[in-house]
Amino acid sequence: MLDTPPTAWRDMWKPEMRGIAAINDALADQAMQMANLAFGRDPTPVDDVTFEHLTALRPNLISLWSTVAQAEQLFRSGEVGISPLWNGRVFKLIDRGVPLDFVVPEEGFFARWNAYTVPRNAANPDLAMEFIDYVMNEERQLALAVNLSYGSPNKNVVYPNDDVRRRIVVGTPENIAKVVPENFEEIADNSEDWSRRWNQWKAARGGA
Amino acid sequence: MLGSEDGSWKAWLLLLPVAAVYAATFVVPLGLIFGLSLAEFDAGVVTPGFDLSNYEAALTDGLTLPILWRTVELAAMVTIGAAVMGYPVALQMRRSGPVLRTVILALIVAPLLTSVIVRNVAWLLVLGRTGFINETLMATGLISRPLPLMYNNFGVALATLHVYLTFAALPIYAALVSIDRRIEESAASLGASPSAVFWRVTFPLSRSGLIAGCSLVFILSMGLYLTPAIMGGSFVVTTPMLITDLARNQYNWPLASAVSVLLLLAIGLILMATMSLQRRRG
Amino acid sequence: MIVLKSLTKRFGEVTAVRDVTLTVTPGEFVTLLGPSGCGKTTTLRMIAGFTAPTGGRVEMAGTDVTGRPPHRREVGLVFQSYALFPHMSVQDNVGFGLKMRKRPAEEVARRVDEALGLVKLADFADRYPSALSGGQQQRVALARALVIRPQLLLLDEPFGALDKQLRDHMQIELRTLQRQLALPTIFVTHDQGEALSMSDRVAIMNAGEVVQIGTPTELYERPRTAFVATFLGRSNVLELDVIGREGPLTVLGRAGLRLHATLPQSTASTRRVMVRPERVAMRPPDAGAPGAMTGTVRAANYFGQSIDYPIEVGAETVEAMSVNPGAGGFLPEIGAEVDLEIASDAVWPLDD
Ligand SMILES: Nc1ncnc2c1ncn2[C@@H]1O[C@H](COP(=O)(O)OP(=O)(O)OP(=O)(O)O)[C@@H](O)[C@H]1O
Ligand SMILES: [Mg+2]
Repeated sequence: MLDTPPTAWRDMWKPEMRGIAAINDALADQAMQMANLAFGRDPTPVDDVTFEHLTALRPNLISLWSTVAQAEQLFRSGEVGISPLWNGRVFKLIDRGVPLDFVVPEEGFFARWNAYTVPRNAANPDLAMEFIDYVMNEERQLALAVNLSYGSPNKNVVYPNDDVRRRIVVGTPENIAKVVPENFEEIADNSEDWSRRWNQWKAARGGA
Repeated sequence: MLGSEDGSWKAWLLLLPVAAVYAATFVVPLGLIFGLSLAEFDAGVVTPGFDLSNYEAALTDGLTLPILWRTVELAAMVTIGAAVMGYPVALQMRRSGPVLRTVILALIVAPLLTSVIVRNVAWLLVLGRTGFINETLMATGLISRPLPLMYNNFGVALATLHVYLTFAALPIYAALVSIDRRIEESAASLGASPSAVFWRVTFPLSRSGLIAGCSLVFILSMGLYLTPAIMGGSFVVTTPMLITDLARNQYNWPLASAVSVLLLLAIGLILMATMSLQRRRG
Repeated sequence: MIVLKSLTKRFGEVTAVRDVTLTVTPGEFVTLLGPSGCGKTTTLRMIAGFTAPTGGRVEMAGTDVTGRPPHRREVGLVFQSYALFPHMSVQDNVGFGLKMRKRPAEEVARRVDEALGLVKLADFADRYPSALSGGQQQRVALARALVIRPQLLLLDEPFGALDKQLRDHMQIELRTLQRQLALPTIFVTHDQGEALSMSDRVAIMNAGEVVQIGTPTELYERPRTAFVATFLGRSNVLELDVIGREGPLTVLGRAGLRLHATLPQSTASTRRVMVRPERVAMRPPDAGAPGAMTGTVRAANYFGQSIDYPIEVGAETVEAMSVNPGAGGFLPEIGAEVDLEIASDAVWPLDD
């Protein structure tokens, strides 16, 4: 579908991507920050300039997706040729023979993580901690890394080979260097405003 | 039913179960939503109150009203489509024998029995950039770029129409079968051509069914949420999607409630306007 | 002149109408009479053009109209269910046919007024059908059919839904109007009284066929078959042995029953004949009149203006009807013996 593989976020704006790009609607905050990165800005602030860039991207976007299943469907059916998508999902698709590759963009990327939380006043805090110890141990973290390409925060985990490290993305020093930190406080404080602007942008007429 | 008969009040007792269900699933939640729409919201904290600031915010944010308008447009598109396509279906059902009628009924009801996800993936195979229609047209050289058949109002309206057609067709069919054929035959014997019989007798006599069907489709279409999300590629934003975003992502239940009340109001106003228009003409 | 030639309609296995041939002359009122399901409505629908005949044809004024659609047949149609347009006022109902003919508005208004005057509904022009009584609705239906000045008026049990009094009244009105307009009319009913009192001619149908056509008198006095004899009015159909001859008369009898009849010469040993109950005269016994026979009164069915007496004569039962003679007249008790007298011209031979 693409003649030359993309290397940067900015490539999504190229004319040859017309009608074959997609971005994530459910994590709109990342999409907005990505638009900033693509044009050499810091991830925040999300402002008029951000939306000018997003509007410029509009003709290239065929769809916004809100569930991963939807994104997978878009890639598999050939509707979409380029979209930000989690590494784990991409490699699963590749393994199933979907003609696809995963690229770490030059401008850097956001890395998010899942956290276990024991709420205050939880009924069984000890049991909860025990569970966390259980899932965080090397054996299970390694299985997660090999099978689902999840990087582990457990420093004792040793990834078996380069392929696994490549699939985890944050498994190599050069990739870790590209992680762009996010200012979650700013994101949370502005979520209402961002959300309104995002909806406005979506609902604006025209586009693909 | 003036209540003088001995058993008449007992008839009302029979309505108790349905009244209870309605109260629990409709009246009470609606009351809660209305109450919530008057509450204050600040930094994620909801304070019960009595002010209209949520409504003011909704009406002035430059987003709620345009999206509401687009929702109305989309619902109107679906409704008109369902009426225009459902009427001939209903006519054919009336004209057909029992076997063909059952087949037609099964065909128009079938989409309702399919999950919305499956249905929309199926549409992808038909309408998508690499779907059946575009591939065929490209192969025949009629077009050089895929047509945008999805991820726009057209795709959403079509996919919605597919499901809601039956809600228009069945009330129209019910109205049509209740017309005594001899009324139409009288018109024919008085010199009315088949098309005159249709436009002067059949159609006016089926209007109640048409209005009922259109109202149903319109109300249902004003609540569209999943189909635009999938078929519209999120570019077709409807008020229910906005409400969901407010409630689920921004936790702003008071504003979400206010927008819900506005949506309900819009539906009510449009239906009332249609009905009064109909009464004036009828 | 309306001519039906060998009109036939089959619905799959069922032959609803078989080989019906009938001519309606200008101004004539012809009734199709027959039991339910005998094909009356189907015949009418073929004439109106709603049902395509399987065979035969329909001619109007010398033209074959068999393949012509209903709206080009110039036929006025009135149903039992009235079939008024519920969404139109009375005057719009009546004016419909004229509007379809694109008549100018003044002409429509004038002729609608006329037609409503004809059926005495001039004051109801603005009402809707739902605000009319059954009889009024029927008159609107009639006016609506008449106003287009059809070549033929078809009425399918038009008075079936009306009560007895209104029906009698409407029968007279319809007949008066029909005569006034000299409108050829085919009227369908299964009410024999209605058929006899209104029609110039009656066609009796049975199982899809016309079994006899004639004036009411012909059919009543000279039915061809037992079916016609019993369907039209009450009758005694008797299967009797030919006993001998007395002058020009043939003597028929069985057990105690003796009848004299004028019959054509034949070698048959039994004959089937019909005697109308009102032609069976009863007298007190031992009146000793010549040709009298004696029977026993089995019952007395009181109808007000007349009383029916089933009377047992030998093995046969003969029905006698006497016009209520009042207190001073002869009213035999049940179980009593009576003498019966049946004049030879009251005995009518049947074909089957
Ligand atoms: N559309 C049809 N399909 C199949 N059979 C039919 C149809 N219409 C009429 N028939 C049959 O044809 C026969 C004659 O029906 P028709 O309606 O002409 O009777 P009718 O004399 O008008 O009876 P009634 O006095 O009850 O109105 C009946 O046996 C009826 O069942
Ligand atoms: Mg009939």
